[in-house]
Amino acid sequence: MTVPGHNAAARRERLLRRTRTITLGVAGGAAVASLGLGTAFAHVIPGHGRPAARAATAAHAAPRHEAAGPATSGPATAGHAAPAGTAPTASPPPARVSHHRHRLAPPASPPASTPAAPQASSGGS
Amino acid sequence: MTGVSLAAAATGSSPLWYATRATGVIALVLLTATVVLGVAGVSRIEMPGLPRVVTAGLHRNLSLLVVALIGVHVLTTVTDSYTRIGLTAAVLPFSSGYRTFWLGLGAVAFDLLLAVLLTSLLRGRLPYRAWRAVHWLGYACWPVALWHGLGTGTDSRLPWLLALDALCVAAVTAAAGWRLSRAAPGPLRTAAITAAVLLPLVTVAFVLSGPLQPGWARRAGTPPARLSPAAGLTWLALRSAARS
Repeated sequence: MTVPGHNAAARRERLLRRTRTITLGVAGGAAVASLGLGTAFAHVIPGHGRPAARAATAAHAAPRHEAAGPATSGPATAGHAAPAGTAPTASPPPARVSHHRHRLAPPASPPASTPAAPQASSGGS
Repeated sequence: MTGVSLAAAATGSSPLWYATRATGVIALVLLTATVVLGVAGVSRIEMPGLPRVVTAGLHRNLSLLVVALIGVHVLTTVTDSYTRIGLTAAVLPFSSGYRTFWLGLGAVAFDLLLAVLLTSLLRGRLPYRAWRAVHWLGYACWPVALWHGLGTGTDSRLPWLLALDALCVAAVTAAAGWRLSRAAPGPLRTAAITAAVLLPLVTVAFVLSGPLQPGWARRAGTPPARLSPAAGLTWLALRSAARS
């Protein structure tokens, strides 16, 4: 014979167990997501401590952005504050950048036979 | 920390900075879930498979998880060598020299969350009206935390992060709309509806005119010593390349 109070206690215990299970799942998911996001940030925004290296790599990557138009990722990282030299400025660029570097297209027209005078630039943009 | 450490080792960056970013984002997502669960609980909404007892328990547990994540967020920020941010700046708003206003918003959100948490832990010893008044600060804590992330984060322009922020805004707006649709008419309800409508609009306007524009780091209050001229030159190079 089942007692109503016993049933209520059992149901309450079952619901609490479900709450704990979901909480543990969310906590584990949050930990894994934090690790994944941290790794993703490390790949998307590399060279946080290397402003010189990042500037150099971004400058190399400029033709790629030219082909793709004003991409969001380029200005996104370049327009922000870069950390001030926590690493030597002569450090080599990150290796992963070379994987994404596209080969430059050959020039459309041959170089001029006579050297032209350098053009004066107004400096505006 | 293994994945972050490996990635940081590959790029030569501090894993603490990436951990700060990641825990901040996840804390915002969990805070969003906490707010939605709280609204669902007070609106007596019963989701399939989630009786109200479970919803209330999850609301409490997730808020504790948010505090734990923010603890990690603060610790990694303080110990990161990128910039000097003291522990007091985490709780004392607008006391940091680095992006003073936007970092201060984070401190405000943290303080509000602590107030909500402490009063909830002491709920049995507090008058219900006092507890409820403080608990309503949770609604203020969420947008402040969102703007802190948008204004401080150097990653705010990443499309997938913007999409995640938009999802959080949509979830809280929908939950608040549902709650307000069931509230009794009155000036408080009108004010809340106005705030619920204005909040997403103001946030979108802010993102478009602030973090998505070049030079945001300088305008956000990054100390000049932290602004790299190389970054500015790179931005100019990218822009001129895009125009040519």
